[in-house]
Amino acid sequence: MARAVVAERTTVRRTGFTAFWRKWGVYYLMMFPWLLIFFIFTVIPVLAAFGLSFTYFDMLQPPRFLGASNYRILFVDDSIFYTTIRNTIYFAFISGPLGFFLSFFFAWLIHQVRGRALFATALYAPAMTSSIVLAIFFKQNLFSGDQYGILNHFLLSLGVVQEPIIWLQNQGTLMPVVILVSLWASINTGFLIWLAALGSVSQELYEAARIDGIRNRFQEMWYVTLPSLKPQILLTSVLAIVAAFGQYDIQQQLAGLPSPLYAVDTIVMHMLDYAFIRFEMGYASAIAVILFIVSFGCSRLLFRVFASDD
Amino acid sequence: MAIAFPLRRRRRVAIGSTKVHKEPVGIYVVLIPLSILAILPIVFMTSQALKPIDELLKFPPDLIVQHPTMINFQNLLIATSATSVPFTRYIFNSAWVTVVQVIVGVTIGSLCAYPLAKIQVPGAKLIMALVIAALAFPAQVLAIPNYLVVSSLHMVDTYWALIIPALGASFNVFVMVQFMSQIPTPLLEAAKIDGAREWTIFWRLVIPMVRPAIATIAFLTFTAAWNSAGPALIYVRTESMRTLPLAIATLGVSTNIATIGIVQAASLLQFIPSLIIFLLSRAGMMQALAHTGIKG
Repeated sequence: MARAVVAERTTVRRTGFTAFWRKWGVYYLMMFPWLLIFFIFTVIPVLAAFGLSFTYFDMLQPPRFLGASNYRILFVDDSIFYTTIRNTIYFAFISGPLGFFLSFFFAWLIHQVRGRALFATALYAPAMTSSIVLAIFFKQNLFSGDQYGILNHFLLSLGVVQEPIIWLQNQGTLMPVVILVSLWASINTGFLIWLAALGSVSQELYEAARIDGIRNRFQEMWYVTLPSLKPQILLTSVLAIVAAFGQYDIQQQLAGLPSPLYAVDTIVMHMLDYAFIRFEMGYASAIAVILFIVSFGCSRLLFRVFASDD
Repeated sequence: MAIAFPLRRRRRVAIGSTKVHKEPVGIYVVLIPLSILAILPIVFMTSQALKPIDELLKFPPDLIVQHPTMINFQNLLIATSATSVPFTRYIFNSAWVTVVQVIVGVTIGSLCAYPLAKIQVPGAKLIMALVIAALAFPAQVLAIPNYLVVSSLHMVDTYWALIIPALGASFNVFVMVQFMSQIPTPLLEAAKIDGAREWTIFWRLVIPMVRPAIATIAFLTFTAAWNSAGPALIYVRTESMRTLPLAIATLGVSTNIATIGIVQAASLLQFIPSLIIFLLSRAGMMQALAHTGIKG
């Protein structure tokens, strides 16, 4: 009896579904593999991180609900958290905009000369390699802490300093060094996008602008190029700030984990420390949620500022 | 190819008309030193990798090697094999993970992008909104839940852990959708009227037209997989499963002068494949990324 009712219902429903599937099914099949991975490893994890952040979870026993306790500890008792969030914001707000600006500026320069392929390859070369490789290179050569560091040798022989500066132990010098090394790595995908986009601006626009009295390259860039490339401004600025918020490998390679007096530790490093060294997954999730809110918030702000009018 | 051509022609026009300005000597004056500064680490790295020990000990070091030798590469690839895990194993690990990621990633990314770009599938707008939202925060936010999934599937310390989570990279689908949207719809409709099935249209018509975008996402997937140590840092337990960047990071902890040449040799081995892939895909990327952006 019950079975008959169910069977009847499914046939009724199936006619609608069959029609739907006949029309769209093949497309959903095409999308299925990527969407499955995207949902399992991106969409659901954002929600899962929010959920876990309200629990105690050590992976041995099932998560235990704690309420907002993780957040209370994070904001009231965890002084290192404040250091890492300050470092992250300081680093991201300098290296993000700098990386964004330099990527555009270099692409803009290259766009106006011959030998674009050569210049583009040279400027993009540091991003082709691993940022770990880059960091090790700078650590072992330029910023060695003894008199055999190239920078120390240079400063000593000029008489600027009397004894070698221990660049990677000193609280005052660590952050500038990290930012400097990150600049090499920051000429990345954003740079390629600009390089490609500058070639796509319609030539009529430039001609019209010249008739309207645009005189030099800078005016042309400011009044013609940039306004017509707003979608690229938005995309590359978001990519730059997000990369800056997520970066930790250069810090870790240059200064160690934790860095001396947590001078360059970022939120990501604090999270990885709690997650994969102490296995406090709940607390680490709360840190991840803060990272999400800060970086997503900054991105939304950029969406507001650089949204195209149409 | 059909869409590639007009873009390229437009660029040619752009080159000609910049001549309306004065010759850009000033730009070369800025650009040449900057380019040299950018590749200086790579040049010096190459030089160090080729230096014999006495040249490595020399201070201040020469920028260019005097008597190049392969001794550092020999030490890296042969000598280490007697003591612990052979270095070639790390290269193999990275190569395998990267190749699988590029092939599978490009295939499923393109498959997913086609209905999103050209067919108004119900839910397409929502999916695109999620894809763009996923660009707005760093992937590290996902590290813990991803680890829990990987661990519950018993994939920790396997190649799968290094391959599968990374396949969902949203930027690939994002780039592909934007490029595919430029394919003229009447072309696809004509093929459909001629009786072509959806899969045929996709493989025979769409894929050949989006080659620049394929080159782009292949390159981006390659650099992400080949260069980042992040996933290996989290998912790898045993030494023999380490990837190349992680192995270099371990080597790089030492500041012993004898290992510097070896580290730089390893770094060079890491760099050269990226350079080759970049040179191969550069032209395609310049076409595909030209219209990549967010309207907001």
